[in-house]
Amino acid sequence: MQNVDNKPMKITKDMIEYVAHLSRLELEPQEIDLYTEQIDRILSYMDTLNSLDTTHIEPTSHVVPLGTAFRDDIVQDSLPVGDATQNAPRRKGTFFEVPPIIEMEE
Amino acid sequence: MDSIVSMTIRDLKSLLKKRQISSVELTRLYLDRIRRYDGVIQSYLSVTEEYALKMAEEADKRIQRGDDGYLLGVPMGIKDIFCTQGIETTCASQILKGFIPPYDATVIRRLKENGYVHLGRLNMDEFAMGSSTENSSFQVTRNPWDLTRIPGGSSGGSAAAVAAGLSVASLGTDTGGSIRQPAALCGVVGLKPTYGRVSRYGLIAFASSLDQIGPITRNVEDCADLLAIIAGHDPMDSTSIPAPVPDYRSYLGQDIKGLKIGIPKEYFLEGMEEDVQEAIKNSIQVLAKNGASFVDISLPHTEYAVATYYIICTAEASSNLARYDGVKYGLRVEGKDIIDMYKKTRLSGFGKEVKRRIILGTYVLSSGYYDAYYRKASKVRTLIRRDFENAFSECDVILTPVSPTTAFKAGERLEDPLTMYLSDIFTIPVNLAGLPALSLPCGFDRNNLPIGLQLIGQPLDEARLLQVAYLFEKVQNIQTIPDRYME
Repeated sequence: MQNVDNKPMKITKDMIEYVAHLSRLELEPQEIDLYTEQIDRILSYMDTLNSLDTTHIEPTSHVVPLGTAFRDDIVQDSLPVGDATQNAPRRKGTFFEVPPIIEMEE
Repeated sequence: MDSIVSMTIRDLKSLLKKRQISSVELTRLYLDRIRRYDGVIQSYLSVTEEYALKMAEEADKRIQRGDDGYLLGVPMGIKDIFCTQGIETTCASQILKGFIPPYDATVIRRLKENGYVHLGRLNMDEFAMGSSTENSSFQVTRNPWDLTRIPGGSSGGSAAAVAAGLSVASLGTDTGGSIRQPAALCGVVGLKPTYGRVSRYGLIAFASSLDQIGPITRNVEDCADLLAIIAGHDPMDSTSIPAPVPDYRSYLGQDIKGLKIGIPKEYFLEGMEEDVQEAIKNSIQVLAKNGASFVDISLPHTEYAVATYYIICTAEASSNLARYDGVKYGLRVEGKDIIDMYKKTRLSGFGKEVKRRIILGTYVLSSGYYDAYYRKASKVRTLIRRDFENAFSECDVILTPVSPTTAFKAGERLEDPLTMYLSDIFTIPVNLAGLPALSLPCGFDRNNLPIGLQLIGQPLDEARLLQVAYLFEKVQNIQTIPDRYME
């Protein structure tokens, strides 16, 4: 497959659909076409990074060199459960309600 | 008496303290202005009139008792990304419509402790993903200087409201330029502090290693005062830096003799508008006349910053936005099973740009592509960080434009994400390196659109940026509210 710039496609429609599934996103058919084309262009642009030799470079995941932030082990009040669950679209009491995750055998 | 609209926070406080105006009167004045002007600008997603007047009454009682607070009785609009107890907080997304946070973000708590009055929620790109505020799922905000143009983004509602005098000041968030770029395009002051300077607790996350909260104001003095309120260690954010907060105000008015300012050659290549280039040249002359010296520096990996950024920020976003699943808060669309419910909820709840970034971010983190994209970008991030470290061995502050262009027309870049991404080319490297940077009005182009100057500092050196900016502002005295909003 070739893209609009006559270069090999970096990504296919199948791949977009697969990644959308991993991301738990349903896509409209026209969105699959659109994203395939747009993300292909973006990934091609990202290829510019390959011109840099980074073999001996350490990756940066955080810019501020902080260790783990510890605090004293003192029991403190936390957000009441009722407040923490008040925004749930469906709940029973202070529990979140979701569709069955494991099929029950009769 | 000067027009109230053009006053600083400190001026307003002084009027309130002397009882020349009450907080309720001041709040009504802003509510009236919002009614009068915001129908067209559309900077506010919602106005919390009742809540504002209640807070104002409370502030008036406290003022009568002789209480004090840096913002006591001062009304402000809030970017709709900060959790605010009891007030709907949507991040301009359908997926969070109706979400009422049960707690305050640390920055909101600090504003409250200082007595502010909450005017309403300001528009933004959905989940702060965008450079024009056109990605809001609710409305399109206009630039007060030219209503056919965008205000920048993602904090476009905040910048537009401040520029039109619909809020004396505001707070924004900046992941790749979302404070500085809208501040520049709307002709106001914006500061992205050092990563870790301001607590992110209660900030709805976009890209956690890049996000930072900062002030958007009409002048440098207000910027310094607001930063002093929100900066400082917070045990609720494990990335918050436990360093003391300097007295920012004491740096305002100090001269800049002997200060070395670096000019990176990579920021002055093709693609920049002529008027922007001219305004930056003039700014350099102004600072040189006032005692600063200039050195040419190089940030050799600048051209790789946009690609690096869009790998890292989408990867982090895809992970952060996994929490919107129709279970804990916000929208739920029922499906035939739980996976189907997740998919349908996220289909209906997220806008185009958010979905595009989640897919891209999931892809660059996925098995088989992780090393080629995410790991590669994290390594290039190290190179970009080192560029700045090396540059700061030769200078104290770096000066660049904020954006290669002034405000663009609404709709112009909406269908072309890559072009939209490239408009952040001068602001993105700063986030990757975690540095503080300030955006300051420095002139107008031939269409009378504001141009912004960027000052980049060393980690935790916000005071120096404020010092330079304050001097520049005093010498140049650039208009920050369009004439038609001065009445």
